[in-house]
Amino acid sequence: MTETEATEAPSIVAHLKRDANGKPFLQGSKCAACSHTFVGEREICARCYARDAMAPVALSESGKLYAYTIVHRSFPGVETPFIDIIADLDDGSHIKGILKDVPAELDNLKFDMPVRIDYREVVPPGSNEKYLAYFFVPDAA
Amino acid sequence: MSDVYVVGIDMIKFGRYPDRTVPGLAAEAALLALDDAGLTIDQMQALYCGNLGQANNMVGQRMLAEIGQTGIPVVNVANACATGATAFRDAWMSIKAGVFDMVLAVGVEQMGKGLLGGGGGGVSTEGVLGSGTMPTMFAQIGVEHSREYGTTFEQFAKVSVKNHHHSTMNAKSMYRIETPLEEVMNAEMISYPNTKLMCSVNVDGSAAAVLASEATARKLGLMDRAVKVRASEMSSNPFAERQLAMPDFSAATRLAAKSAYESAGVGPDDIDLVELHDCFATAEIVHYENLGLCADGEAGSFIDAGETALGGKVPVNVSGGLLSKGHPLGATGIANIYEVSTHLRGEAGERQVKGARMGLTHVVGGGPGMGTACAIHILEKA
Repeated sequence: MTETEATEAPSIVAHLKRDANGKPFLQGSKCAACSHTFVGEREICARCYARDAMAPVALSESGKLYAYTIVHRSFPGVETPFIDIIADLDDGSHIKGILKDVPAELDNLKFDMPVRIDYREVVPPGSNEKYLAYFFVPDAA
Repeated sequence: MSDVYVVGIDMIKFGRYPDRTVPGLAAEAALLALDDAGLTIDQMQALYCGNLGQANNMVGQRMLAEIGQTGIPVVNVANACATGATAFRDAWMSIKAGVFDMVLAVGVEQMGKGLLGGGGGGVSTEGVLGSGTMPTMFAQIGVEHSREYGTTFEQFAKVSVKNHHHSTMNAKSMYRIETPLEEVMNAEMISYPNTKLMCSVNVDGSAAAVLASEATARKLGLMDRAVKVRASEMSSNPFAERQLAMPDFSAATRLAAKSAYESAGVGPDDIDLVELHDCFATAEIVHYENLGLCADGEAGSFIDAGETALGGKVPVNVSGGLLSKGHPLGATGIANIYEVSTHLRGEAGERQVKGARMGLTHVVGGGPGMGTACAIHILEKA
């Protein structure tokens, strides 16, 4: 998998979008009734069942590591090992991603360590095209 | 409403049968279950057939084409890892509702090797936005338990040591090999903390049960070996805080467990043995707590103390579990009812849980972006 800086490649997943200036962001939805923030677009709240209370938001780009695993075996053609994490973003949403820029060793992983989103273009396994994706990197802050 | 009894139940030896067909595997289990009860296919008033891999291919009807086309209603069921248990519950409900007196439930699956969890259209996000494999999903659930309670890699690994040991006493298990702790921990790491020996085995298999109303079981003289269904409960995933990032199997299990204990009028202390969904070693640990077998946070010390081994307070997965007996998705939910029934009948031989009067079975399945299906049955010696 090769990486380059984000330009105009298509997004790999529906909840990753670009704004009018081409800047990537993660699309979320916030329920005005119960305040839960969801990843992705939706119209009805799965948590409190409210209708017409959902508003689109751009998700936070920083958060904390909630849980992790080091993936040593994946599907054929997928490079391993890599660190798969569940992050709690600062806006209360939760998202899975790969933690980059850290060797895939348990000693480097701490619960609640600060992480931030980093958008990168990659060629996914099994594809020949570049796609815009998001990753996590440790956040010094 | 009539009480419902299992009057015949059996399973084939789980293994790899690439040269056989799905209806053929189903037929073998169906005939075994009928023979167990001394009944014939023309006595069955309906068939509930669970299968995932050929869910749109009418496996139930094709099975009847092999063993007898009596024209009965057939319901083909697919519900992730709860498929077999859902077919069994549908069968149970039909008798409970008074629609039928005696019906057949079958679960069957033919599987390839390799990791589960892929699929879906479009560009793969595997290795880009994380991993969607089943081992990874259940690794995260284990690490979450470690985060909350300090559960260790070694404690998770002990589940595999135990279930592999149990399987050495089960002739119907895929594997029957002892795996010492060091071997489990040093096996190929798949997704930390689950090594290869801490992942369930993809196998082919089938299991079947004949269910009857109390009046029918008595009329046919089948009460001697009958097993009473004290509770049959299901749930789907209620909203869980992190569900979009990590599928939740615990909340659904807790919901179904609460309903099952309530409808049976019993508690976890009344249960003599449990067959629970050990798709991964980490899963068994969290389900000890989800099913109330121990208090929250105590699952690690529970396995350390041997409470869930044969001879312990509440033996869990004495069959060898999904980890060693194998996990043919659609068959698993009836196979674990077979295991508990065999103990309640006092016919489990070397692995018999002594004096077992009541047992619980649990399956829960699903995946990222899909949801969860959970089924729990409480069974009692009739």
